Amino acid sequence: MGKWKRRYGQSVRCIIGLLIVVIFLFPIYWMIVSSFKSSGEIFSSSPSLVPKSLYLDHYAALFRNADFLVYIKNSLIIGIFSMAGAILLSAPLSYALARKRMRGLGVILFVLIIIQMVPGNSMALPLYAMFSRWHITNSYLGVVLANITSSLPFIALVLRTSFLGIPAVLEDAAKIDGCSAWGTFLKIILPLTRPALVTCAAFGFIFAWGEFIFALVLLPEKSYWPITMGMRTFIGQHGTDWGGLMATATLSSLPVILIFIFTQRHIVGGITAGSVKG
Amino acid sequence: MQKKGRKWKERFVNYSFVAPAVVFIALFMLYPVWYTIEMSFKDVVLKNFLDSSQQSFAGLQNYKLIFGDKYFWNSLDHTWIFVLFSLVFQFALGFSFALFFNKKFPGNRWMRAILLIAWMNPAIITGAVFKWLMATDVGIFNFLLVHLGIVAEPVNFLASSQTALGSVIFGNIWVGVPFNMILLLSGLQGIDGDLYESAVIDGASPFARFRYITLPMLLPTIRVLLLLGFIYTFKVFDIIYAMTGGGPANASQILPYYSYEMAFKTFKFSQGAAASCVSFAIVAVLAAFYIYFSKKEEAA
Repeated sequence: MGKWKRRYGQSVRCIIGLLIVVIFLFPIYWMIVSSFKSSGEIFSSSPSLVPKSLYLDHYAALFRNADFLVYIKNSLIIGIFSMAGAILLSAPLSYALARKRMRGLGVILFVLIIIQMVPGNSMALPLYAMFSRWHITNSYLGVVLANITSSLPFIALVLRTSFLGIPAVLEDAAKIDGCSAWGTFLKIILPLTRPALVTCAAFGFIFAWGEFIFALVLLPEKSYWPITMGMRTFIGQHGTDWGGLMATATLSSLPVILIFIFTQRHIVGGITAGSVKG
Repeated sequence: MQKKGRKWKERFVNYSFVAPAVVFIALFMLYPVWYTIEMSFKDVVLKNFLDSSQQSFAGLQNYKLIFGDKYFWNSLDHTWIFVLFSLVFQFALGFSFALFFNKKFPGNRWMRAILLIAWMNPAIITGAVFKWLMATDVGIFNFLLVHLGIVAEPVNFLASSQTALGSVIFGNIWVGVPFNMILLLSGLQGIDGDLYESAVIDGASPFARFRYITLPMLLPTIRVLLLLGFIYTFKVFDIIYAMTGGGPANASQILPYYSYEMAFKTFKFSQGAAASCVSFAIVAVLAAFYIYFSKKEEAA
């Protein structure tokens, strides 16, 4: 009797859970579905929950659009370099923060926590001023540097948490074996924190891939635009090309959703580590 | 002598771990904050933007100008409304979801993970999607509202000054719910199950258990979460840009948007910087609370 009651309760919860997911993620569903509808179907007075036929012209048009391919290429370049830069800078820093005893580390940790609260759009103005003088607006370098400012604190705090979890005995053993500090870090410590590194790489890429305001301010020239900037071209003055816009939105969400699905177990832990325990 | 040399070497090696990041943080994160503050006390406009020798000290002039600008106060009012409503609803929904997903049932893990997509997806895309959902003539929200008989005429969500701010708040709530849920869930999972068991034995009602065990145990998480939520909500830009562009007639403009427009639409860089400094000041106050509470939590 008790067993059946529990089973019943669990199935009810499962159904409610599914309902929450379906209702809450409806905007994502609607984005995807709309991208497969012809313009006639989009502007029809009774929208269909499922497209009448799989209409692929919006996607075909995108892949024929030379600008779109450039946007995607730019997003990839900016995303990969921002991710790599943020990891390369923060991994040794986080390791030192977790392990080394030296003056000034407390200050650095404090600065990291505070600086991640500074609104990114307030950083856009001074960075624009600095980069204009150095002639690195309209370049990948400028926007990559700017992107790193927004992901570095978060990544550094997450990595620090994972370095804290590695037993110190390992380092002592390596030291006795004559391993240098950097050797120990690169050959022994880093491989052990691979899950955290993967999470942070995922975060770094996703942040940069979806970043908008730095691109808006630092990249006036279309040839450097990432997809987040390119998307604006579908919102015209004389009405929006909703099908095209949703196809672009779907394609630009795709890497985020895929990366998320593959790393979600670690990401959930990462969010908590980077936010509350930071 | 040799020992001293080794010590110096160790120190040098240690600093080599932190130096690159420290240089980066100083140059690209701290200096820009200082630069903004400096700019807010100068007279930087388009023609002297690149040449600092042509920029003169302007005292508090820029602050006087923005404090005398009704759109500044307008955007500040909107900021409070935006932050308050976003926070309350994100938190309330996130908390309900967390309580629900804290129960055991099949599929629970992937369900709560998949909800995070709303939070991970680029905000500019979310903005575009909500613009489409809330479109006046062809948007699905209006279709549902009209067909369910809730409104007689489609609502001009994004283009009417009465609903624009509410609409961007709605979009922003959607983004924040999963983040609140995840942090509260991890807080809930940290509560010792024995507490509940003994409360049940003592005959405590579910409400009493929530009121006297769950809430007090979650309090540290809740405090940090609300402060973080405030700070994250305070810097929202992309969603507003995509949904309304701050309009119509500044109806959905919040403070970061105001400073963006000051600097990059009207090219009054120094006034934009002054508005940014007001943001800095507000965030600094909250950051102080955040540090205070997380220190307290660490000590506890």
